[in-house]
Amino acid sequence: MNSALLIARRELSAFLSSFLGFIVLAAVLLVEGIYFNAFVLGSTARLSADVLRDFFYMASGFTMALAVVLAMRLIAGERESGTLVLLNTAPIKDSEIVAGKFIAALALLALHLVLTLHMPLLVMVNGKVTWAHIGVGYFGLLLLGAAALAIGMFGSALAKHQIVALIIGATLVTVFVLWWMVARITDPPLNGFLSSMALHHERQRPFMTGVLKLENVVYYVGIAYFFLLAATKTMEARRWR
Amino acid sequence: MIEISDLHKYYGERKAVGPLTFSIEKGEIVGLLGLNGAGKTTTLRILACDLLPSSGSVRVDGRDVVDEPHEVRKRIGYLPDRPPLYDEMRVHDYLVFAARLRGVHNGADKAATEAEELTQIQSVHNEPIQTLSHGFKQRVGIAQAIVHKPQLLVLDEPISGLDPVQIVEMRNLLKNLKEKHTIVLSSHILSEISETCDRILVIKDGRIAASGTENELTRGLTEASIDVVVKPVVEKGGDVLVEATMSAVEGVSHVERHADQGGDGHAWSYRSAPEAGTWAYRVSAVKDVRSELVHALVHAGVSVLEVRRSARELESVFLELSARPQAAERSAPKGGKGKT
Repeated sequence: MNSALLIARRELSAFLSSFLGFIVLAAVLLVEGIYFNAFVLGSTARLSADVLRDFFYMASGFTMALAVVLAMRLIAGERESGTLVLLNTAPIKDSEIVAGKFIAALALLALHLVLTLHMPLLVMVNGKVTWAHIGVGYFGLLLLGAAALAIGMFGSALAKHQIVALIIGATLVTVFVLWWMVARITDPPLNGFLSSMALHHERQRPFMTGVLKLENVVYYVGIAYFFLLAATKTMEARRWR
Repeated sequence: MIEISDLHKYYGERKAVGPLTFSIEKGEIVGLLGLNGAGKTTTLRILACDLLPSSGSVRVDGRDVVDEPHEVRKRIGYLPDRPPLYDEMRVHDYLVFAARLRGVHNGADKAATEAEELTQIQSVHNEPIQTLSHGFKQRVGIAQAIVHKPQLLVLDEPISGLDPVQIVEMRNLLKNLKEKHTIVLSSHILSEISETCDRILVIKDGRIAASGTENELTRGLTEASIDVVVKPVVEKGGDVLVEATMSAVEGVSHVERHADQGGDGHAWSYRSAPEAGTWAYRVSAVKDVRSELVHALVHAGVSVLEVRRSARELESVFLELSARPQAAERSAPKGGKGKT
């Protein structure tokens, strides 16, 4: 675990010392802010809870996109620049490499979420929403981000180049988001299964309305664990290739 | 220190290495010599546990790379052909990170400072890596490989891309490192291998084509090559006399004057121009005829300034082994075979 934290610390400092990292973060926040003002707040009177729900709906899309972008460079980027060999030939496990990079990227996602906090606080100041609603909504976003990040890391472990990692990660996340649409045209019990496997539709909505369900937490943790394990096994397998 | 037995490595259907068998003793500095694609890098990557073998056994200090990769990695410092450097990091921070990654938690700072001193990069220890020259980057790469004081250093093309001054500095660095580490390095720069290494393993098509010291390898050559430098003979026809004298020595098959002196010796024109006021020749012979040449020239009244075996001999071995399929199975006449 020490090695994982060591890798996480290096990843974070690399991101925070990079001009590009801040530009990406600032760009995402700018687009989010514009979207929030134009579409979430709107010009007509609405219930504060509905506005907050829409904010979380918007933020979930940005969170997934940012997770995939962050994940693409984690392993494929190091492979491309030739630095992965430093980690591969150190006396640490592949799972520690994956865990370290995941922790760092999750911390950056969390930083991004913290920087969006002013938007729900605006709703809170001008309307009537609870801290619990905001807390549960953000917890859902963090879980969704963790799952999307793990999927992206799997793509990054598979690919030689960052752009390929991005394509694989984005495709997988999109497929997982769209399972519910496939569920609509399939028969039981498959439709129930597909619907429950969808990354966003059924699983994220309760969080957006401030409802915390254990089954949804378990789902996101399960998805993240599965894809992190897949990323680790992919890295192990590449040594045999 | 290293025992490799019947190693094979396949990339899909393509065989990259194998069958490969050799061993390296503690304290040796051994060079892997081969053309691009011969299997040098794959072999080194397997030694460093970056890749796993398809079959066969690779043991470092008695530990198997498949069964105990962590134990092997603790004992190895690895510099790939492209140094694994994080450009945005400062040199010292990077080395501290590398030390901690290799399990040096207490005293990582001190270990990094020692590695900086050994590789002579103290002057840039606070610089971002991306601002360094290629030579310094290569040194930082070596520093990360030795920062945890490994028993074995595995260096893939450590002098690749360096300028002549940096090559000399790197050669001295390797000689210093030899005191504390067993070193395996790869190169296709023949002179470098012969300058730095105790023993040479010539790899061709993933197999050992020959092994031994430079002398042991050149002894197997079908022709010896000798450089001769004499004082000019002032009398008319002096150059003809010198060539004729050397040609008359038993065993000499060919004598050629240096290209810069009007000879057709294009094959050895790579050598720097001969000293002014001298005549330089290259003599090809079926055996080492240096003493006979000196005797004949002195007897003919020619002043001999220098007689030595050609630095290009190792290259000839290399080319001979690469060109002839049957030579691939040849081992050095003596000494080398026992270790392959």
